[in-house]
Amino acid sequence: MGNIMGTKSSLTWAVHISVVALVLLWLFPTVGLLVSSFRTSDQIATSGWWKAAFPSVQNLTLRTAAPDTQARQDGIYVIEGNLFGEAGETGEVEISVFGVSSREIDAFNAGDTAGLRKGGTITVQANGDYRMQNAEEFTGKRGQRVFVTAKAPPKFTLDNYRNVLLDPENSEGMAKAFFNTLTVTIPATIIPILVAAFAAYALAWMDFPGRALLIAAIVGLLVVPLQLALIPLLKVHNEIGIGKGYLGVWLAHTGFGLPLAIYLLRNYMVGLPRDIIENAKVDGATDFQIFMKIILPLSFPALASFAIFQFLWTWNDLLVALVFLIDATGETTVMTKQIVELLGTRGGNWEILATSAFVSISVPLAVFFMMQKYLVRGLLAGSVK
Amino acid sequence: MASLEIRALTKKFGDVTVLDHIGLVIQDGEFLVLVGPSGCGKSTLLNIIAGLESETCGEILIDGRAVNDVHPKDRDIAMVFQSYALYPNMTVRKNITFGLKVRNTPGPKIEEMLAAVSDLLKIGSLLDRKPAQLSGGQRQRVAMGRALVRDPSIFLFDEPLSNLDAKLRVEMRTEIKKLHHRLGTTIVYVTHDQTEAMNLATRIAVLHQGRIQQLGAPQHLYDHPDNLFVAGFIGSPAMNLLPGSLSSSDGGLYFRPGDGEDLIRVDHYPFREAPADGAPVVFGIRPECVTLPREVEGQARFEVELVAEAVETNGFDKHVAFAYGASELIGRLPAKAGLVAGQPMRVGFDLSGISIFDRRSERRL
Repeated sequence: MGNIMGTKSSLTWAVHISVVALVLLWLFPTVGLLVSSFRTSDQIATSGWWKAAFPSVQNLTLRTAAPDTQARQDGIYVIEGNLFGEAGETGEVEISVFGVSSREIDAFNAGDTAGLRKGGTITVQANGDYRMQNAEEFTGKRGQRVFVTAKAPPKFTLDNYRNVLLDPENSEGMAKAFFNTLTVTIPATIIPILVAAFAAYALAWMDFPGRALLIAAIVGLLVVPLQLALIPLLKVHNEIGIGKGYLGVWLAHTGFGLPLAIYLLRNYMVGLPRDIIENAKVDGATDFQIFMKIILPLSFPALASFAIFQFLWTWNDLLVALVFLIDATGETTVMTKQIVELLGTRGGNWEILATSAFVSISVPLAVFFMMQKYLVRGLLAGSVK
Repeated sequence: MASLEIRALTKKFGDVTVLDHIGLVIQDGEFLVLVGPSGCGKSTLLNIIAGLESETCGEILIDGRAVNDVHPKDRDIAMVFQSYALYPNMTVRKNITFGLKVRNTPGPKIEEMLAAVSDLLKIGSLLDRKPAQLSGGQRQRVAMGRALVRDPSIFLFDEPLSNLDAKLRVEMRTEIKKLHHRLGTTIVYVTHDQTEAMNLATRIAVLHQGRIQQLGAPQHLYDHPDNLFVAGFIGSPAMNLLPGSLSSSDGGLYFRPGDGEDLIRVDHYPFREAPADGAPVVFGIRPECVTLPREVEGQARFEVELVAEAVETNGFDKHVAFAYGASELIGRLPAKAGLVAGQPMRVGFDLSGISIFDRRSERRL
């Protein structure tokens, strides 16, 4: 007994450690993506997402106000203001050193007065307030460049989401692709469940010749790779006039999803107590009534778990959408395709990529968290009794 | 209410014959119990009556109408399952009314019947619960209510009490008995528990190896078992069966236990046919007929000195295992009888209720 207990506890540790490792493996990129999507490209470029919650030291290039705002005080020309504009006046940003030449950006401490190359001096305070003065008039169109090393508080922005989701001008936005993906996914989840539930009931509880053979065929279909069917199926679609479009992609997803759906649901339904079904028969229910009023409600966990599978798989699908849906017009592009496009055209704009990626994983995440109890229950049901 | 007739019913699963030419006539209002060890085909027989399984050959008639090809729902039967088979997704109310609803019974009628049944079974307070929230006994009641509410002509019970604890089982047994008295509906009841069968039945059919071994009133089966199987199956503790032979001497007919010198006089036994001298037989005597000599009344008696090997106290009596030759003999002695295991004592046999079987055919002589 002691031996067995000992084995068990070391196994338990192994399980715990693997769980922690898996959780970290999963959380690290996801949280990174989420945090990055709320940061500006500057922030992403200067520090990692794990530093996002802390104040960051940044080297910034700022400009004073333009010379045409200068005022004359006591015989000298003066320009005053704050380098950060409105934000600087709240005192959140703290400048440690500054410079007026790009070669010496840390020449002066905050509060010091620096001489300007074109004459005159500038004094920069830690909070960004500056005062430029000169005996002669400032000339030129643009303000003086000031290089500062500032400690900025953590800052998050919704601009990326505004840009990716709400900007109607943005042809690379995700809004349209998001709805296209939904248009693909919802029917592609519901249709196979409807068909498979009926089939599963028949295969589980109705006696007819060739039933075992049909079940064997379905198990066989489980292992057929879908790539095998892509081109022939597309040809069929084109020949019968469906062509590329939503109908085609729904049919394709339905077909590819059905074997697993029927198999899962049948295994679950076959595990329901025979007595209940027999009792319903004696009670006078027809097969259809038994299916609708007893089997279907009892099979909810299995239905839900398959629905989650099918939903996630169609949501993340690129291959089937590329073959059966997306045409030259690009009107029916889905999110996976859109992200591929973005990788090509906006490969450097991590904030856009992170935001787009997070938009595309947000729905699966929500579905998963809401339905996870059914996922586990439905998967175990039928296998463990 | 209806009568049920089964004619030459045979059921085979592949090469295995589960039911072999079963013939049964069940009268209107009768409570027939099918009893037998597990695997004897009793549940299969019930399922065939219900129409849930198909027979290999033979006929089933309900009220004289052959129902072989009639769908279960059109046979006008109701069934109570061992597992109760309540619909887990429905409340008690819906469970009970399901059968009426799918038969398109009008709403007010359903309410009326539901009220009647829930009064009868005292489940009125449970109507809005789900089966998972009920205790075993309550589930049992709901399962019976679901059968009752349809007012079928025949009830089929498939070991309905075997999932209950001992106390509840006795209670529900009485309830079922009462229910049958009140409703007078034909009932076919399957069980493996011979006590239950004896308690409930108006007639018992003992099934073994796909055949009806004996069909008759409980007391008749107890007193006059037709063969060795029934003798051993009915009664608890089981009938003592001693192998031996018949011998006639001094003008009397005696049973001689296989390896003993004792001669037990069996003149009074009503042989069905004249036995041959020296015929190998099995001598059957009920444990209550093996007791203290003073408890035995009447002329047909026999005394012998035996050693008690084990004593089980029941409160109202004692079950004592004696060694008698090579066989074991169970006796029922009064609780007050003072006896010590391992001590020899005088034991009396009451021979008025014995059974004698042919050892080869195993049939009653």
